[in-house]
Amino acid sequence: MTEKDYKNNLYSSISHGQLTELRKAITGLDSEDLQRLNRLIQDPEHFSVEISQLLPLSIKKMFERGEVDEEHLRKFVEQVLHQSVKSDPGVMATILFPIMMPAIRKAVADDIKRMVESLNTSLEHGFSPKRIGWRMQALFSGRKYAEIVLSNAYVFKVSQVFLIHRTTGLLLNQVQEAEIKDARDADLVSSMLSAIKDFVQDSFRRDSEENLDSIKVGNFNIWIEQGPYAIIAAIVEGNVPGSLRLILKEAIEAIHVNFSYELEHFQGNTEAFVLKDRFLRTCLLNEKKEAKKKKPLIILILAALLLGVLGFWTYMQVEFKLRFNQMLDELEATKGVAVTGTEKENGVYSITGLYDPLVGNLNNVVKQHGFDLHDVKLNLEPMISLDYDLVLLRARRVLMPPETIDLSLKRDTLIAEGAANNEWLERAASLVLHLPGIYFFDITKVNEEKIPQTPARQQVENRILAIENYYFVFKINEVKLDSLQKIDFDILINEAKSVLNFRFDQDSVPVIEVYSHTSRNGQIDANKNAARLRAEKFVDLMLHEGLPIETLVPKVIFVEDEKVPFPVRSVSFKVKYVNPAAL
Amino acid sequence: MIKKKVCMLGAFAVGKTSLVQRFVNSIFSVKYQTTIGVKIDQKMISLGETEVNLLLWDIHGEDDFQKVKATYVMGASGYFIVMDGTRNETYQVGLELEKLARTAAPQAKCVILINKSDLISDWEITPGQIARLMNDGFKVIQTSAKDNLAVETAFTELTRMMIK
Repeated sequence: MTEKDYKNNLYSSISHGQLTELRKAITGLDSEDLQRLNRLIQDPEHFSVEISQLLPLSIKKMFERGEVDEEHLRKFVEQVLHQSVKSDPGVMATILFPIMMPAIRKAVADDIKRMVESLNTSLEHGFSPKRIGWRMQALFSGRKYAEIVLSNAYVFKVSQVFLIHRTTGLLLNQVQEAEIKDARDADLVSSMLSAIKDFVQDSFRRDSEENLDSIKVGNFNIWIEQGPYAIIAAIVEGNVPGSLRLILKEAIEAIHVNFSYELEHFQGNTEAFVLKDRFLRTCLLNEKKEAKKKKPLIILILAALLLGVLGFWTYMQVEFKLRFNQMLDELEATKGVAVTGTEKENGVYSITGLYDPLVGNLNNVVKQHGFDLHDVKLNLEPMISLDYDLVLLRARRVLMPPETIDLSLKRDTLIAEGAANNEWLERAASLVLHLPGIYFFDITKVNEEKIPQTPARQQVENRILAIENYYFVFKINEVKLDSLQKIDFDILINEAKSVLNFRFDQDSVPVIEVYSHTSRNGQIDANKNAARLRAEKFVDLMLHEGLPIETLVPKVIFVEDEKVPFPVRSVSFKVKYVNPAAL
Repeated sequence: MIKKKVCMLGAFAVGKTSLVQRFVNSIFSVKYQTTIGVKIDQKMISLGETEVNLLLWDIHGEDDFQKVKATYVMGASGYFIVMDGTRNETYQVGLELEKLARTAAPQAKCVILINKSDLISDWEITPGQIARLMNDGFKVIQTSAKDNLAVETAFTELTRMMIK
């Protein structure tokens, strides 16, 4: 008999009701319970639903019994998270995204804010001369830079001061700076401060003497100073000097002295405190940033430059004036020069007066004092000076005494001493009385016989030297000899005729080059033309005196090109020997 | 102007904050938010010619975890002991807080508020208990912050007692 046959026989021999009773007797379960259990076993999904209802409770019980603790769960959760991230990091990223992003944004924003603040601080503290000074101070003193900055940069503001009754926390009075318009909540702030103070003292008190003395809220600091009956609370911004604490102490002491009765018997009436607020006002201190007063660097530089330029200009003016006066003194001290006046026109100084051409080129004096001839001009008219030295000099130039003759002047008498031949004596005697300032010629001390006759060649060379020493200065656009110049001109013609009549050899003949001196100052072409006309006119004067035309050569020369320049508008002479064919 | 410090004392969730909000801002919220520490409000009240600025210290409700600090009550001119009519345990807590307040501020005036009179059918605090309070000399007022019943009266009465 198979098992199936056996079951069929058994079921048919027992009624259904008996079987049910038997099953219930054995298991204690009715058919519904059995069906439910059967469904749980047969249907895993249903089973999981049933189990899920029990699991939280089971875990809770396990926790209570200590069978499972947080350490077990933590390891399990960590493993699961690790596995999840390892297999697909994207899933965890998606889960955490709503939490992480705001946190990251906040962190980044905080960092940027800190960086900007740090940068601002660095810029503010880094580059000004004062800050550099602080850095040097820090370097040499060994203290931290921040300490130096804090000790020097007390930039702070006490914006509000509260006087609070200590026991009740009620606001007795408050003062604030003018900028704060709305102080309606001062009563609340006062009470809240009092509450915070009470809370802190109640919670953290170790010693009854320990009090809450400051609260930091963002950029604000609340400095609290307590008295037996009242408290001062100051709202402060910035770096506060320690001296503020002393000021607050003095204020609260003064308030207790002045309002001792009102404070002790305070019943909520604040009128007395409001009327007298001077003690609180002493605590409203501030120190503004010096940076606001700082002048722009560019203005300082410009001011310094302006000052420098002004100083330099003043120095130049003074120095110029001193040099100019020295030059004038020298000119006036020069024999044969008479300065009659100075004037300045269009930035050019002009010196007017008279001068004897024998004193030489006075432009050299101007140059020696460092002046440019464009800036300082000599407008001196020629004259013949009767000064002792110049009269003697003129006599020597004209008479050309031999080396054996010594000339001297005594009042109006020219005295010749030494040895000379008759030829010189005759020539000298014929010329000397033409010389201004000389009325007598004393030759009593000249020994005539002992002196050999001067060679003709030497005489000519002396005459050439005499000719080349002459020069005549004329006015603008005028070639007219005055009476004094006429004397020199006559002597010049005599000398020229003597020279032109003598030949050193057969291959060369003497010519006299007539130089007309001008300057490049102004219009060069016009100057050159005027100079040329002056030279030609002077040649005409010489021709008129009988000198042959072929021996006279007019030329123009610029004073700037000369080694020893002659005065502008003057005419001078040079004797040259040339091939006759060139004439 | 006179200023007075007034404390709100009572067990947790009896309606201290709601009473202050109703009195100060004329609002009521069914959303319960527990008070941590102390919250301070102010309200100007006129009694005849006298103006009184009430600084209302809404102190956290007392429970097993949070005991009221005596320092909060010191200096108060008056205080309310608030009880929840629907929770009998708030009666005892209220009496204990009254003792604490009387020690911290002996001169302060006291008014006991039996709050939530809008739910009077569910009250656990009995008329007998209220009568005992009144026999003990307390001023007792039944209030409802939700329905704005006797709230103004309560604050005015305490103010009157304080400036008397």
